[in-house]
Amino acid sequence: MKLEENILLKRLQDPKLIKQAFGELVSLYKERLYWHIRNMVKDHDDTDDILQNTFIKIYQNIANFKGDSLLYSWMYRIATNEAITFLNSKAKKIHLSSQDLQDKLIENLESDVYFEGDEIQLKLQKAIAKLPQKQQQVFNMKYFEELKYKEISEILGTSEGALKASYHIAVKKIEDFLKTN
Amino acid sequence: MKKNFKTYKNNSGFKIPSNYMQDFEAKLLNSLEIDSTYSNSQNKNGFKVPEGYFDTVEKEVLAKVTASAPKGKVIALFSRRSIYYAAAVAAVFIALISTVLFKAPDTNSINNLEYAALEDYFNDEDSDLNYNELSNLIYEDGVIIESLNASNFSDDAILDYLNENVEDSRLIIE
Repeated sequence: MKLEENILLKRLQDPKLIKQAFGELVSLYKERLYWHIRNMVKDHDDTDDILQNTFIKIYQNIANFKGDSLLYSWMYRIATNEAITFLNSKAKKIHLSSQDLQDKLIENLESDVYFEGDEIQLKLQKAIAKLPQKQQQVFNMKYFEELKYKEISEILGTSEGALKASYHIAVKKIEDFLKTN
Repeated sequence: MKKNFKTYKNNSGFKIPSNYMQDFEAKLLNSLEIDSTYSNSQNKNGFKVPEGYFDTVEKEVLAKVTASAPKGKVIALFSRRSIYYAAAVAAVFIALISTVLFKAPDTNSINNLEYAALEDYFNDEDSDLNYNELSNLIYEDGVIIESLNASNFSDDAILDYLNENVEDSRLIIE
């Protein structure tokens, strides 16, 4: 994986090859990044905007990528930053606190044509929305995106131990929410 | 191609559902496609994606990126550097003249603004930065500025900051 990534990166940083290599990169990561963003912002149209912005930022900045971290973790960080910036901006625009915005996003799911979850899945989303932002990220990445702790650690820059603790606390809180609601 | 159709003589008595062979390839490719992506998260979280979305988004991204790429080298009539020098010299003259001749009253300068007022300005919803503008602020000279996270500060740095800025020491102890 590391070797393949290095080869792809070299092609991405070569002005003659970037076009083709970038097409491969988009093809390889569009779905993963889509779900990463969608789990954070919930709405499909918002996810679409953020995903496109994410790839444009990747394209514009790939020449300056020094390789201090892995390429995929760098891309995930861009997607995460984009999604957080979007959520903060949206909360400010409609005069809501971030917690109120989370509640509103979940409320919207009930009438969202692109949400086909059953009652339990909706309840799970409600429980996730009650978690602090970092715990939400860790839970989504571990449970829905099925990333390994090592990968999450590289993306979020948090130690694996802290992530395990964070995930454990998140699961406990979700269980409590599901039992009492 | 036709020659290979009857390589297996169906005299064992077993039957297969009609169209099974035709559907098999599509089903196999489909399952491989699902395995190679993270679509399984879709089932867990209940979210749905419009049909064909991932094909169209790829085309849209590539079109946008191609459109934003520089198309050719443009040579300026005047060297940008010499314009900068001229502008810098002019600015120095203007600054000298304005400070010597016109001594402006010391109001409305950035130094007179209180930190609280600046904070209010940036916290205020009337600061018209939309998502895209805020998003661009994250990037400076092509480098991603990591989102500020309190965990990046050491305890000593936080204590130093609190010591300097908080008058009520009970708050620090808490």
